[in-house]
Amino acid sequence: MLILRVAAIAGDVESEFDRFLKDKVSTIALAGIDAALDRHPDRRDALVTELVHSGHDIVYLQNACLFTAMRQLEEVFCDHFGLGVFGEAFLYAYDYFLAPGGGQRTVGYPSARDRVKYLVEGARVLGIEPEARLFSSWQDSAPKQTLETDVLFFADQAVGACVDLVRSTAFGILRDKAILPPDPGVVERVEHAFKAGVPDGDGATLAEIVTAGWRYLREKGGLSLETDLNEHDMLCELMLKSIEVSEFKLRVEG
Amino acid sequence: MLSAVEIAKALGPDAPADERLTVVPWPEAADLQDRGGTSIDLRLGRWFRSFKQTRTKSVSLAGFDDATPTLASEISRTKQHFVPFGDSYVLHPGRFVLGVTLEWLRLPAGLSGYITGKSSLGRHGLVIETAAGLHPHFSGCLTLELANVGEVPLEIFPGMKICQIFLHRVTPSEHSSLGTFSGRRKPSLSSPRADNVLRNLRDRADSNP
Repeated sequence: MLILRVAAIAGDVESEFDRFLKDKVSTIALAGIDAALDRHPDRRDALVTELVHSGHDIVYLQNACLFTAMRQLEEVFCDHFGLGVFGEAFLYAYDYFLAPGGGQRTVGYPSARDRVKYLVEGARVLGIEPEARLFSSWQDSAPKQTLETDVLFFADQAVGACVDLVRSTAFGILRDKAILPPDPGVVERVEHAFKAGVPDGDGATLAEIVTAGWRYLREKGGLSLETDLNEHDMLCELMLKSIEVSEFKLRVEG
Repeated sequence: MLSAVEIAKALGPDAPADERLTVVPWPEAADLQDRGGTSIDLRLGRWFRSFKQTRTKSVSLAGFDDATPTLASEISRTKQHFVPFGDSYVLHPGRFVLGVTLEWLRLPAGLSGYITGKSSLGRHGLVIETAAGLHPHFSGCLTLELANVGEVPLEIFPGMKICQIFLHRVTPSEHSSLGTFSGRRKPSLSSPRADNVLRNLRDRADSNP
């Protein structure tokens, strides 16, 4: 099962991510922060002047930006890892749980709109063209305090400079472990089975079954009305049964 | 009753969509043909529902109307069990448990059937099913009513062949309801439906001596 294979490489991913963070991203992120500071000398100087009053200097600002950028990049890495495993289903789930964005931004995350933008770009790298209406009504999140606003201003530019590298690393780890995004042909077959009211019987990955379920759900407008309850429950049962059948086939057929 | 050849044909991809019998995972087609029988063997699934020992004096099976919230209390009298492949469930003498088929079935409008036990298991005291009818349009896993009427504990294993279904052709009707027990992959429990005749008999019992 896909989930077991992903769990099995969790340790590899963690160590790869640590090494990756230390060796490559921090260097690029720091260069990105310096470049951003140089591009905006007025804002930088005003900030440094303010920091001097509290006994700090530009190094303090650089460190604060780097800390924030690295935490954001961890989230970006995780987002792309999930995207690489679950394909378009990850986008649907992301939208379902976090829409419509907005709210107060914390320093450890990219802004709501940036995070979605990175995901959509990542999807296209995988050959997935997200639905046009997906994320269309998302609002951006905004930081609360003035200092956070300034730190994020510079950190965000460093994050933007590192996203491609983080993305290719996340996808590369999965590719090396032969964990590929859902096969569109299999997803279509599973979705066809769901529409016929039966589980898939030919074996599919967890990601393919989940993707087919999301497609069915979206085509039906979410099945969120009270009158849709039976169909919603049936879909859940069909997805779970498809997973069980896949496990059965895997055990029987090796 | 459908022969092995007819069952294989109804399962096959060449069967028209509205006449196709679906069994997931598919039974071994070669095995079906080789046996030359008239039934499909089904395997035991992994979910069980046993009844708790309680101090309740008795449970009424008179039937409930829509206003009576019964299902939650009925389910609270039972306990769900998941048994992984490779493990077993031990059914002790005199005990009863609900099981489920591993296979998900969907019957087309023109087929009905019934489910029975397997003689090889019955001879050890394992009774499989008492409510045996399968109606057209049913879609889901079949709940099995498993009882050990023998004298020694019996180990039953998810994935083992547990029962068989026989199929008949029926004249398709306009009615296309999936039925109360469709769409389930776990053993399902349901209270009997309200029966107005029985209600009248009970309500008027005292007034008409």
